[in-house]
Amino acid sequence: MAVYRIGEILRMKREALGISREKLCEMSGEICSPQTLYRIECGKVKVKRETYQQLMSCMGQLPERSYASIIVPKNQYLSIKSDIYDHLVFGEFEKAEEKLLLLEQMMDRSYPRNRQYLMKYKATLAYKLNKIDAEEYQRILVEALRCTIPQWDEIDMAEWPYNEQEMEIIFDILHTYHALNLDEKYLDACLKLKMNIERHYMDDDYYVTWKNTVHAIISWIISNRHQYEQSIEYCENGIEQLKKYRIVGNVNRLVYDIFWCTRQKYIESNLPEKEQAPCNRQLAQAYYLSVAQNLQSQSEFIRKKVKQFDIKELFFL
Amino acid sequence: MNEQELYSAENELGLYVHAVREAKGYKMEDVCDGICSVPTMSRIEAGERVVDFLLIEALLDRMKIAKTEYEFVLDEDDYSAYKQRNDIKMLIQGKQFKEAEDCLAGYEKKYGGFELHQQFLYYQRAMLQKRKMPQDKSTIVELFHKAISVTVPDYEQKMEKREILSSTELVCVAEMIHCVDDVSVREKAYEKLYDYNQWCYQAEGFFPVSYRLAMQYYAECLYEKEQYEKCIRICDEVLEELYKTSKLENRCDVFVLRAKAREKLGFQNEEDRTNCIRDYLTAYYVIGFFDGEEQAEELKQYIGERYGWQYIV
Repeated sequence: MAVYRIGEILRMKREALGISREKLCEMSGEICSPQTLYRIECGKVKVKRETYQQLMSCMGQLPERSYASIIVPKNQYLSIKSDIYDHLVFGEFEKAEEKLLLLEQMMDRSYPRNRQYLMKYKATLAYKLNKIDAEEYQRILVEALRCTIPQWDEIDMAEWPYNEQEMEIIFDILHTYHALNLDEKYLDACLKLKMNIERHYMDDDYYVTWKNTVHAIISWIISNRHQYEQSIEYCENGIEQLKKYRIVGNVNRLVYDIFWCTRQKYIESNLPEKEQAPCNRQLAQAYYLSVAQNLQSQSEFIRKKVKQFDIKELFFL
Repeated sequence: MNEQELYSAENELGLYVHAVREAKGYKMEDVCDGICSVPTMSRIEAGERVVDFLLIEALLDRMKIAKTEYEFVLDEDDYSAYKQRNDIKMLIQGKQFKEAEDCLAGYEKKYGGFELHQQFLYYQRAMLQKRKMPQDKSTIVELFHKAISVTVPDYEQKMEKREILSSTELVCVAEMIHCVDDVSVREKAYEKLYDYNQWCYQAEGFFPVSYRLAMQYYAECLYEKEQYEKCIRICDEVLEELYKTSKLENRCDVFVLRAKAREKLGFQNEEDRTNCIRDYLTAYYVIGFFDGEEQAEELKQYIGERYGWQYIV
């Protein structure tokens, strides 16, 4: 769950849109004074419901304060969403499509967040099934984002406070840059998103999870550019935090990246085989961290690497 | 209230509670029993009454809504209390007892007047005691009992009658049983809890978050009672649930327990043996990674001496 501060959300959105406090109060029909708005944004006074709604509407935003993952009318449909996600992860795209269709019939499309959800998943499936190309995929994702952020083209990506669903779409958009071979743009966008997340406008757990997702991508991009030291630094930074919060998700990936970078570094500096031994421990760690989460495709991936690198297979049961 | 209204500008935190309750088909009086009165709950659901976020959390917890299912924009007061609660949990988890005690005292001064916050305080003090002095079982039981009694002093009857309890309440039950010395008494109590959890699964489609902890304790009992096959089966179930979360929790303990049970059962073939060593190695590498080499040392010695050092890098 992510939890946000009301004053901070108001302030970040207002600033990202480049509206002054005076202007926003004027637009809202003087629902409050700029001084009061300032105090609201700092969390010094409680914001009345009407005031919040009015201010959000003036910024073209939904005035909601709770975001359910999606809203469907019946109990059994709550689990369909996680099924769709699982099918996608395991590459069972036809099954995912079937479930999505079922969900679509149940959902109220007049609700922007539902519409956004459907657009995102339909496009993702179509892309995975090669029905649309990366360019078209990107176009639909941006359109989905506009369901809740109509001013997407005008704002700086680093400044807007995103909720979970919006953040997921942004990550998908970033990946399309890679698919379109726009690697420079890919890295720039990732660094911007990193800046955004580091503003820490969400609660800790969520912050740590997103921060590490973006760190993992950045470290991967820069390691492909042979900047191994820098890449390792990114990973280590991420690992330290995940350890503190005792989150095991994503850790295996970061440890593997450290292994890979360290190994590449050794190879490029022509060090003898014996010197590479410390890497093997990292590889074993990455492997068992995947096993501990039952991530079969990732542990299988490491097993393949083990064969390729001629490492003693005994560690990798 | 129809759905259209739900999506309208009136969207407050309570409306989300209403939507979830309708979707899951719970009765209002079951959800709010011991947390707030029925009239209060209906006013919360109508968005007419703004309440402490902890109360919203408690209601959602009763309906077994996982924390990953929703996001909230909170007022400064609510956010600050929420953050303090998280800080306290983190300090206890990190075994910073002195700091945790100070934070708990500060929290009590500020919010102690409200019953649900009292429950939070008892619960966290019990957790703290459990980590700091696990041998002091009577204090631990007393604190968990005080915590659960804030909302459901009649929890035993409720479980009997198959009425809903929150995950927090179910953790209290599991922890209290854990403090009982007699293993047979414990086993029986966990069996009951197991049946209750299975009922939750039948009725609600998934296990409460507390299931993992309760069943880990159950598996430990079964191991003590030398029922190794059943112990392994319960461990499998617990791990299945743990795989769904990104948090580490007690998964290393479960891997070690399953390995020990497999060992006791004896190996019929090479696969049994591999499965056992894999569990040990998983625990070894993951503990070493999160808690440092020293914490994994004992396990390393054991694996090395029993199965050979070639398995360890």
